[in-house]
Amino acid sequence: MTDDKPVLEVVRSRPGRTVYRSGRRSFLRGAGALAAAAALPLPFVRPSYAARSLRVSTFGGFFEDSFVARVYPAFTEATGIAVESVSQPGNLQFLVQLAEANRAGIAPMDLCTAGQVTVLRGRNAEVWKTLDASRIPSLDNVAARYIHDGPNGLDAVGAMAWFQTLIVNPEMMSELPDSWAVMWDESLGQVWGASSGGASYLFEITANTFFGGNEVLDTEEGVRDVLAKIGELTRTVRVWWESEGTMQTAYENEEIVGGMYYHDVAGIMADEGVPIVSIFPKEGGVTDFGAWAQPSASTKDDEVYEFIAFTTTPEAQALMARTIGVAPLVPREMTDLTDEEFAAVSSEQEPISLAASARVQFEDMMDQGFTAALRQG
Amino acid sequence: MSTAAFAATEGRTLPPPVAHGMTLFWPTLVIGLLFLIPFFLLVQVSFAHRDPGGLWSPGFEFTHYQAFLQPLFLETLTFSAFLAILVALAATALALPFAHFLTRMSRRAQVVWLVFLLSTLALSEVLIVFAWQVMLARRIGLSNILVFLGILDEPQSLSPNFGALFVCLIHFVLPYTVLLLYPALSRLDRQVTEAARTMGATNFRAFMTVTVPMVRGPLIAAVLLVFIFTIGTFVAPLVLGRPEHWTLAILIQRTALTTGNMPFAAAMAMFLLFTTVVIAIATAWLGGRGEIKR
Amino acid sequence: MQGLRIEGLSKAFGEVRAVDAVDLALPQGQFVCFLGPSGCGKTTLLRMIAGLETPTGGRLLLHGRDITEVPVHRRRFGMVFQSLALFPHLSVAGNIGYALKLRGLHPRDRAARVEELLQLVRLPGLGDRHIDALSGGQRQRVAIARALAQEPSLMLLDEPLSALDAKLREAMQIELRQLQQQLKITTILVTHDQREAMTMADLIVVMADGKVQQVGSPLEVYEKPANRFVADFIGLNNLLPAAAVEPGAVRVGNRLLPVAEVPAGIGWGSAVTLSVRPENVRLKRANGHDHAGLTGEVVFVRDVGNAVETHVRCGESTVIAVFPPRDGIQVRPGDQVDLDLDRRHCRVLVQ
Repeated sequence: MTDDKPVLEVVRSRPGRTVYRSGRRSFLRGAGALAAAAALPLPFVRPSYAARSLRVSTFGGFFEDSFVARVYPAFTEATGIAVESVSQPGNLQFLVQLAEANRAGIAPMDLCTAGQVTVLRGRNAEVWKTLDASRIPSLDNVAARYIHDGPNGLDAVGAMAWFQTLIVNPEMMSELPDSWAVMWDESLGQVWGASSGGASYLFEITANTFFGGNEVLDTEEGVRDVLAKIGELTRTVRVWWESEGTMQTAYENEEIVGGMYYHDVAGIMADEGVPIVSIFPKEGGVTDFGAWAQPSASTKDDEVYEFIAFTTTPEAQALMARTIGVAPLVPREMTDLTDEEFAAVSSEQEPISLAASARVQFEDMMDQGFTAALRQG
Repeated sequence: MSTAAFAATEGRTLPPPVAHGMTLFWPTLVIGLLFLIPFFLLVQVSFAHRDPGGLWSPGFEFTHYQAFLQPLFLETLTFSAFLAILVALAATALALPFAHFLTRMSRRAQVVWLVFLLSTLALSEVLIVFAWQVMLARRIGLSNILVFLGILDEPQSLSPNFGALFVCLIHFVLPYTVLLLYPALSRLDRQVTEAARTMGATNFRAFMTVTVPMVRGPLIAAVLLVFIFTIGTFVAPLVLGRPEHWTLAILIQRTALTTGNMPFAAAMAMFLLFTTVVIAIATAWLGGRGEIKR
Repeated sequence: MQGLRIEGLSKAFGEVRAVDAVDLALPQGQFVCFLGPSGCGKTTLLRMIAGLETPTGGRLLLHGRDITEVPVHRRRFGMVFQSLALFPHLSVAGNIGYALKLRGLHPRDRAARVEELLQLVRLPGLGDRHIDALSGGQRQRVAIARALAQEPSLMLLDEPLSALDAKLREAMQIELRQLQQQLKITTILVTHDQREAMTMADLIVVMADGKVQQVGSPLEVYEKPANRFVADFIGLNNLLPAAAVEPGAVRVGNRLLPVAEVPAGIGWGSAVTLSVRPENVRLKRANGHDHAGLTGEVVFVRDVGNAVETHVRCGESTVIAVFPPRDGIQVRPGDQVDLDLDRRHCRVLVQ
């Protein structure tokens, strides 16, 4: 039997693909113990003797390893600027620490990777330096939804994007579903896995499947309705996952038929022979992204602009899509990605976006309401 | 001679008592500060002002403590305490007879068991939880063995549910309880239980009326240790429990790291700490009450 | 038969035969001592009687009934352990009343019985005390009272006095003996202290190597040791190599010494041991005349107050003589002396 593999993968955090599958999205779940243990913010410093240098932080684990191995060397080659890599935890702990450091005038890094909500929260806490869009010529390539424009100007520019889709085990379900609504179908029993907690994309999925779009999340009433609908899932969802490992273990052991999961990871599982189909439902897959943001205490503006400009080129985007498995932020036509390469990480179908501003506005209500809805459901 | 002069002459011959005390004082101070500083920071944050959409700013308000008094949080706290008490009692009740039989084994068998138990302490909670997730799975888990033995008709998934959570937590804490009870049990004079046997007690009766009361202190220590371990449990209920089994630790973590509401998370942590201390003191008090006056 | 009968009782721990086919009859109401050096099997034998060890062979009969298979908690024997084994979590009354509580005696009756037992062991009114608050002697009494609580048909004592200091031990020996005589309970005491056995026992069972060496009253065992081991183990003794030469005499060195009797079946000329207690050796200053008995040179003298102990070198052997000081013989090391051995107390032991 080979099925005990995922457990060990999660725990051992081996470099390479296994970590890719277990640790990479830790920041999304806002996970505590699991993520914190796996991604302690110990700086990975690559000593540099070059005249110009830049300290960049990404989510520790697979993402950081891949950037160090693939992207930073390409950047150094193109610009002569050496990169020092710094590990960063995926959750808010990072922002708290960064705010403290900024206040003391210390920049632990010149550029960091921030989730959508983190960018907004950091904006409110005045953690970011406003960027000058005119100094990033390749910015025009980037789709507007991957750019954070604040009241003072540009805060952050997309670094990497990913999709969550509906995965289904075709051996356990003969007729493949085409809508997220299948997760609410009680006739199937308790067979799904869904991501748990206030950061779960279930809010957007529910809003777009049953309430016509993210707008319903703009009012308290609407959030309440969405939460009530999420509560119904207790009858159909078996596994409420916060760590990818939990979901993957449950899926591979046929504890569940499918559920919400990362599109690119599903592709890798399929390559390894796991029976899995990643479906972009008619409501759309959910897309989310991390963005480059400059802490206000950082002074290396020139290098920062050069780095962002480099990573937003179609070439860099194609490189990242192939080696890290992230979705390109630039139109597909600009890249030289093949159909297969593109389908492995993205879709041209209109995606469901994160309701980032609603998430900031109703954060307590969403987080507490999520738990309450499931406990009562 | 004045007191000062007296002290001066005496001071030369007597070693200064303060210096001796100070050597022990420094480590105590360092440990104290290591505990107290984070604790006071936590207290401070729990009264701070929350900046919605941002982080928090210094302040002094009781908002977060009031916010706790909602059914969601009170029920979660109650469940966390209930789970911890249940696990503590069950684990101790299981460990006691086991440790007792351990002391009756050959010297060699005892060493093997102790080394085994000690080495299981190296397993993290995360590893144990994921191991149980797999063991309880439909496809390759324990239910297949039950099918093989003819107990079940077809393999089924045995998690997530309360039983899975409970069994996993017991597995996690059992080595601690056994290792805590073993020294006391192995020190017991075997003639004492033999005396009870000659006075008409069955083996079980002698165990309950003599052995158990004689290891009362370590028993209470074991219950308390497991309780304190378990009330903060996080990974096990997340992976092996249903949403109704989520503990306060999970809510604290989500509040702090998903919504960034550190003041409320700190206030919840204070509630959890307070509950733990109250139950711990109550246990110790109840445990000490049965002692005979000396 | 009334009393305890032991038939071929054995206990083997692996290859070691701790108790080897012991046969004994212990009459009702007697105080019996199992006496022997450590490791002789006396404690194992006692524990088998108690039911704490399972025999590997043989049986136990109490008043004619086979109790070999009766579990310890149904035998209702009182036992006092070497460590006393008092329950540290219970009060004095809790300890003494333990057996009564198990038997479901009403608390009021129990309290009365406990107080009665406390009176018996001369600790009236101490029921509420904690065990830790008692002196060594008091604990001893509590342990005895506790063992007596269920009115045992047999009282088993496993060296319970060994932890006490000499003076207290002697007092407790007498007290325990008086208590046994008062209650007339058949009692077995295990001890390695022959003086203790002599003080207390009606019947002494001398054991060595898992076997019974001799059973008899203290006087019998002392005066008529059955073999060399008993003669050597009990009390101070002179054991002289000798040869059996005729009925009523043995040869020691080149002297012919009269003895009470030479056991039947000993071939003339075969080697035997002459056993004579030091108090049965009389000492005379050598007067130059020929002496029929042993002669020798004093090598060591000590006066222990109530007795004078004199060691006399006689050829290969050293003979010890003990006599009261008022007998008035003054000897010093180097003196030549004649020794008279009281023939009535000279025992001939087969090698």
